[in-house]
This record gives sequence, C-alpha cells and structure tokens, in this order.
Amino acid sequence: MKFETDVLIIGGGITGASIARELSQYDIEVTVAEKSPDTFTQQTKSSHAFIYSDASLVNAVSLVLKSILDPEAKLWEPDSPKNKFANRGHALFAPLAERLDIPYEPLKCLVVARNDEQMQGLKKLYEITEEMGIKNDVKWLNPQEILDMEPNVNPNVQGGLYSEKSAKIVFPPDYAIANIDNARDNGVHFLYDAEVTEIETQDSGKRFVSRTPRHSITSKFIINAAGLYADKIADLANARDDWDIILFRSQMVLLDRSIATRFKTVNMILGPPAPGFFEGICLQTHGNPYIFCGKYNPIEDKGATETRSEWFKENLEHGKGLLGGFSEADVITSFTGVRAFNTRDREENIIEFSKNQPNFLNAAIRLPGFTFSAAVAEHVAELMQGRGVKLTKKSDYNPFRKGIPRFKQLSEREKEELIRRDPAYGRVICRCETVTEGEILEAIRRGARTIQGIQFRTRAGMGRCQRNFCGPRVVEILARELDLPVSKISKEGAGSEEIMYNSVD
Amino acid sequence: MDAEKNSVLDVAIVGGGPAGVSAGLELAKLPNLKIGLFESEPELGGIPRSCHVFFGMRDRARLYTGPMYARKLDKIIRRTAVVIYTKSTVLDVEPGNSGELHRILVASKGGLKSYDCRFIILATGCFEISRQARRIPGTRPVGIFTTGSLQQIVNLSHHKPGKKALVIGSEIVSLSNVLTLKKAGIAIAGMVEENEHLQTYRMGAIPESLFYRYPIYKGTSVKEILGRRRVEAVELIRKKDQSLFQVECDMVVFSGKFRPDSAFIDNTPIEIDSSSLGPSVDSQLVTSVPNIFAAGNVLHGADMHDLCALEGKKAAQNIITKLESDKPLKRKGIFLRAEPPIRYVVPQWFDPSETEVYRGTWLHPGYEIQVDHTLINSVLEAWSGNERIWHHAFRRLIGNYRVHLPIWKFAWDRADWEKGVTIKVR
Repeated sequence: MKFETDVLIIGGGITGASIARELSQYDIEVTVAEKSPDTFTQQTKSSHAFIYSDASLVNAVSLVLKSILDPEAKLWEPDSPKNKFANRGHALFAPLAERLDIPYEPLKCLVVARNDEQMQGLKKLYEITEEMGIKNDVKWLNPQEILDMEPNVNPNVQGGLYSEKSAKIVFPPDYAIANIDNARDNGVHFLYDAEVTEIETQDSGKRFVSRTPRHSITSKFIINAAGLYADKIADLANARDDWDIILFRSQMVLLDRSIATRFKTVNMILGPPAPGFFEGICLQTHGNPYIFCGKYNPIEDKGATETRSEWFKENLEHGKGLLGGFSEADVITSFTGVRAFNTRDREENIIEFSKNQPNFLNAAIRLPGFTFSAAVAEHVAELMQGRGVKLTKKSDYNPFRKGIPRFKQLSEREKEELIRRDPAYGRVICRCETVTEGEILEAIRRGARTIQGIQFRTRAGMGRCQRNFCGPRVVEILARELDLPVSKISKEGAGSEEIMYNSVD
Repeated sequence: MDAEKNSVLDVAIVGGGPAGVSAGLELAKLPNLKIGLFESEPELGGIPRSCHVFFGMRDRARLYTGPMYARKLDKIIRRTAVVIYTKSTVLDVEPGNSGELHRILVASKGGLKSYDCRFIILATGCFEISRQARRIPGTRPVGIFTTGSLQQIVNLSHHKPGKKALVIGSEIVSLSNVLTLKKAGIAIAGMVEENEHLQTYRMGAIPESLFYRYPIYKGTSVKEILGRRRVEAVELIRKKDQSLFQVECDMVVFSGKFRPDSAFIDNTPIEIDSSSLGPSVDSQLVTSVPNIFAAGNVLHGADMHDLCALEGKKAAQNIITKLESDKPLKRKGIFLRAEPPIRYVVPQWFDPSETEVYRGTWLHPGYEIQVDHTLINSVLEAWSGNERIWHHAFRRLIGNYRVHLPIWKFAWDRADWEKGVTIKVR
C-alpha cells in the first residue's frame, strides 16, 4: 500500500501520540507508523506515568538518583532544558486532561526514613527542595505526624517529607490512548503492524520513502519517536548524530486492590533514594497498589522484559518495609519495564533535527516521558515551523475527546441510563474489574484489535483473577466483532495468538 | 431508583453453581417464599459445566459427568418457584442496618435492578490464581492457562489452544486437566510437582501418567518460562541436586491454588478471613453480617462440588429454621484459626454447645482444613492458649484436599474463648 503524507511519525508511544495530537490541529497530513498491532507496547505501558513539575519533591527524588553518575555534580539546575520541559509539560497537563477526558489524581507523596542513614538521605532531599524554593509544598514530618497521616506505614519511621502539590498520576494507557483518539478524530492516519524496516532518502534529503512489510510511505518529514528503537530508526536514514541508546530495566509488582485500604491519605510512599537506588509503593489511579524498587539494571537486549524471582523477593521486601500489611498472596501480577536514555547526556532529551538529515527530527525522550510529552509535542511543532513548515490551524479542529464510559465508576442512575441506551453495558464480562460488554465493544470500535488493546482500554482482565474467567470470552468477542476466527486473535500481534486452532481446523 | 419500587425477596442467592442451586432447591420446598437466584453466566451449573466425570455422588447419589450434572441442576431448579436470573451480575451487596433488609444491585441487559432481601446466600465459587500471582518468573508469552480457563476454551468453546502442554501441579484438578488436554488432542509434556509427594492419591495419578505416557517430575519447580511471544519451553529445577533442565512445550497449564471469588464484597462490611480469603462464617454459615450466609467454594477454594452442594443445602436449612423468627441471625462461637502450612479452617467459628450436632458426621459439611502440600507422618493439633485440646496423627495428609476435623472430639471444656483455637501441624 502506498501513502503520501507531509509528516511521518515513527512510533505510537506516549511521545509519538502526543506529537500526533499536537500536529493534528494544523492543516498538514500526519501519519503514524507503529510496529505493533495496537498503540504503545514498550516504555509507555510499563511507565509510572507521573507528571511532575521541575520544582517538586518527586523531581528532587529523581535528582538524587542521578547523583550516581557524578557525586560532585550540582543536582538542581533550574535552567536545564529538561527542567523547563518538565515545568511546561506539567502546566499543560491538567487542561489537556480536562479536554481529553483523562482520569488523574494528585500525586500525594510521602518520603519516609527508617534509619540514620536514610535520615541523611532525607535531609539531602529536603535541602534540594529548599533550593527549589517549594517550602510551601514540602513539609517535614516527625514520626507521630507520619503515623497520623498514614497509620499503616512502617512504625520505625524517624522522619519524613510530604508533598501534595506539583505532581499528578495517570494510568499510562489512559493518557496515551486519549492522545491517539483525539489525533485520529482530527485526521491523523495510524498504521499498525507497520514496523519501518527501510528508509530511502530522495531529492537530497527533501523526501523520504519509508517501507514497512505492508506499506510504502512517502513523506517530507520524519519524526523519530521510536523510544527504545530510536537508534535503529535513526540509523535507517543515517540520521543518528552523536548519540546512542542505553537501556535499563527494573521489575514492578502489582498488588490486589484490597490492599488500597492500607493507604489513608497519600498515594505514594517512598524511601529516601540513594544514588542509583529507589524503593516505593504507589497507588494507581484505578486502585491497584504497586511496588517498585531496585537499581536500573543495564541491558543490551531491548526485548528482555522477563521477570526474575530475586526481583519478586526484593520488591516484596521493600514494599513490606514501607507499608506492610500484605503478603505474597496479594500479588496479582508483575512485569519488567525497560527505560531508554541517550548516551550524549543521560539527563537530557534529544529533540532536534539531525545534522546529517535536515528533515529528520529525532525525539529520543528519557523518563519521565509522560511529564515531558505535551511540552515535547509543542516544541516539535515550533521546530517544524522553524524549518519553514507553515502551520495553520484547521477550521474544524476538535480539541475534545470523550473516553470510553467506565461503568464501574458511574453512579447508579448513570449506570441505569447507560444500559437503557445500550443494553450491552448491562452484561458484565470481567467480574474482578466490573467491565461490561458495552465497554469492550466501544474499545473495538475505537480500534482495539488485540487482547492487550482491550485490556488497556477497558481494564478487562487486569484484576485479581488475571483473565481466568473473562480471558476466553474477550477473545470470542474480538473474533465475533472483527469477523475473524479465534485463532487469529492475538495478545500483541502475530505469533501471540492465544488459541492456536479453531474447532473447525 | 426512579419511581419503580425496589423488588423484595425473602432470599437472594448469588451464584448458580452447585452450592447456589442446591440452596435454591432446599428453599423451594417451602411454599410462598420469594427466592431469586442470580448467575453471571448464560447457564446455571457453575464450574461442573466444563468439567469431567465423577459428579453428583454425595449430593444426588448418582454418577454424572460434569456437564450432565450441571444440566440436571438447571433442569430441576427450573421446575421450582425459584426465579432464575442468568446473565445477571450482582455488582454490590449493601447490608442493611440491624433488622433492616439488605440490598443487592444487579446488572443485566434488561437494566440495573436492586432487590431488598431478608436473607442472602453468597455462593460465587472460586478461581485458580494466575501464573504471575504464583510469582513464576520469566517472559510473559501467550500459552499460559489455568485449568479453569483451559476447560472453558476446550469444553465450552471447543477450541484447541496449543499442541503440547506442561501441567504444573499434581492435585486432583491436575488430573482433570490431563483429561481436558487429551480430549482436545494436545500432547502432555509432563507434570511438575514442587513437593516430593504427589498432591493427590497415587492410585489416581500414577495410572493416568502411565496410560497417557507422560513423565511426572516430583520435587521439581519452575525456574523460568521461556519464549517471547508464545511459550517455547519451561526451565525446571530439581530441588535435590539443583540441576536444571528444559522441557519444550507451547502451553503451560497451572492447576490448583484456588482463591474465593469475592471481589464484589470487597467494599462491604462482610469480614474476609485472612487465610481462606473468603468470608468468615460460623457453624450456621452466617457471615459477620447477620442474615448474610455463604456456602460452597466462596468459603474454601476449592472443595468437591458435592460438598459445596450440601453446604448450600445446609445454609438454606438454617434460613428455613429462622424464617419465623424476627431476630436476625448473628454469627457466634469461638474463633478457629489456621497456622501455615494449613491453608484455612472453615467454618471459622464454632459454638461448643453444638458439639453433639456434629458427632460422627464425616461425610457432611462440617469443619474442615486443607494443607498447603502433602505431609507425611504428621500430627494435626488444636491449641487454645497453652492447652492442646485435640490431636491426631496422619500417615499422609494430602495437599489441597479436604481434611475433615472431628470437631466433636475436641476438649471444648479446656478451650479459652478469648484466645480462640489454633489448628497446627507438627
């Protein structure tokens, strides 16, 4: 299939999706090529999805983590590009979430120290927040104040810091999908199963022909938002200047939602970070607590997302050390997330046109990608204008998007009304998360074609039983709606079909 | 809700498996009772719908296959006055204040309805915990199932999910698993049991393995699952010598390790027992909320269907005796707790004045425990404070299998009500 487009965005993760949404307000043709059958597979889905401003307790924590690189370096540099992007991204987020119907919560963060060494770390953290000038947000708490705030926290706490402003948390798929829905509503083409394997440069860099196994896409510009694979994509067009991608991974453990009752006030409890080490337990927007801890473990293999038993143990130990009151039986799932950094400056993003390839824009974003996303998108549009692209607003641009109704969260009256309008909302498919057939059908109408696509859009199968009951049923609904045999319904693309053979085979 | 008045029920039964249907059958013997039975699935019968042979022995005194048993339950309950609501999911249970009616909220394609009920029986059964919840490390490919999901796919939808499966666990359900795989024409790569002993009777497991020619790896656990998109192999580790070996397969089926399906009562005052993870009940099967009962595998994951059925019947009989009384039925007794490796003791409360009721009731729903894994030459003990009030030596305590507690043999006169009773293994 041949396509012509003004701008080709490679990668449909949070960065690609945000850029697509930003550019969709202008009168240019935008196409997104995503290698998977549905949007976002790698960093986006396993992200924390924190959105925090530059001057915030959460950012101070990440600055301490960074000091592993250079213990002498000055940690707080208010004017660094990264901090500016964080600030701008944070400022853009709330109004965007309003327009795109993205559920989010303020990230109320408590950092607790349980021994003398951690108290040192806590003091260091406090100094940074003082430097940041956010005394009105960050409070120093004594043990009694901590236990009043969070009665279930480790009783051996010696001191803590608390902040409730300047940071927010979303469920990662909610944010990514909202961007994609809105971009598509405004005319962006999304190509799935479209792994770009070849980029041909024509007209001395004025035109690119990108090939995937099924498409040939001619474009004037390419925006490389391929995340973990940004290096590979840049290499295809000889557009990687002086950077490489390095990867780190760590495992997270999700707990049953019944553990959410252990949190009283806050939704994140951290230990004071040491250089290169972190531990925390966080309550997700949709109610599942999860534990994260460890170091960022370097890896070569981009797909090495296996879990390990020592990391299971480590996570549970740290989680219990912070909050406690749960056991191994409360684990519902676990996964390993991979994070990409660039080697030029691990602390910074790369958002620039390639020196070699003037119409090829690299957007290699480090964490926190969700924080940066809206600001990065805005900056990309500015860079395009700087390249002489005329960005005129579309007359029919629609800045609003409505999410799939979440039956579970509606009031009784709203539930009743919804079932009256569409009886499919009366049929509960996923019992653990109370997800109805109506929500699943709506997800399919909006482009979900895989089991994960349904999971991420509706949360069907993400609860306590992990698809034990609803798994087979979701596969059948997908097969019925897409008019495919069940043996063609995959978890995340070809080769991952859950049922290999139909009864008729 | 709207102008429409809430419907009133004498008894609402949540769940249409063996326990729920049996409760309905018992209650229907009384005239003029308004009984509603709510089931999420399109048909009644529960798990037996997708299971194999040996059903109905203790409750119906006949031998059925699972699907036949389920159809039989469906057929006989539909002849009674019990009103059946299928494809209807109970979203919430709101206990009324003392003496008031409880309210349940039910969703179906027909709309959202609420019912005010005098009595409720919770009978939602259980499920097997996922591979991730078992903390099995490795990649996260497709091809990983539990017996429950496998049997749904093979026996209800008639699909064949793979070619060669490794079965993890050697409990009774694991044997049923093998039958399901064979029925679908799937080869068995082997059966893996982390303990040195099988978790079921040898006379069942060994002939099956010889007949279907698959190896049983005892004292072996899963080190890692391999394969990025689909399962390619499983790396196993033998405990004895820590040796590693790989078994090629494209499916892994986890069996056993059940958990009560009680998500819908998570946010209610109905107390959940920390060891069984189901509601905590007394000998009458009353939960911590008066007039709300629980029966079947929502109490104990998992027990045989026929005992669940008898338990459902028992809950119904208890309701019948209380129908005339205005006093709400409250949970009472002395608390029994389980100490690992005992997975749970159910019911959790016992009233010593009822000792005689239980004398000699080996086959009927009484007090029971399950141990985590098969134990050889062990002693079960009941302690209250510093007093040992009962003990019994077992040559072989089979893991994840019901062990009846002869509660009438306990020296209740020496039990301390404050301290409760702890059931231990020595």
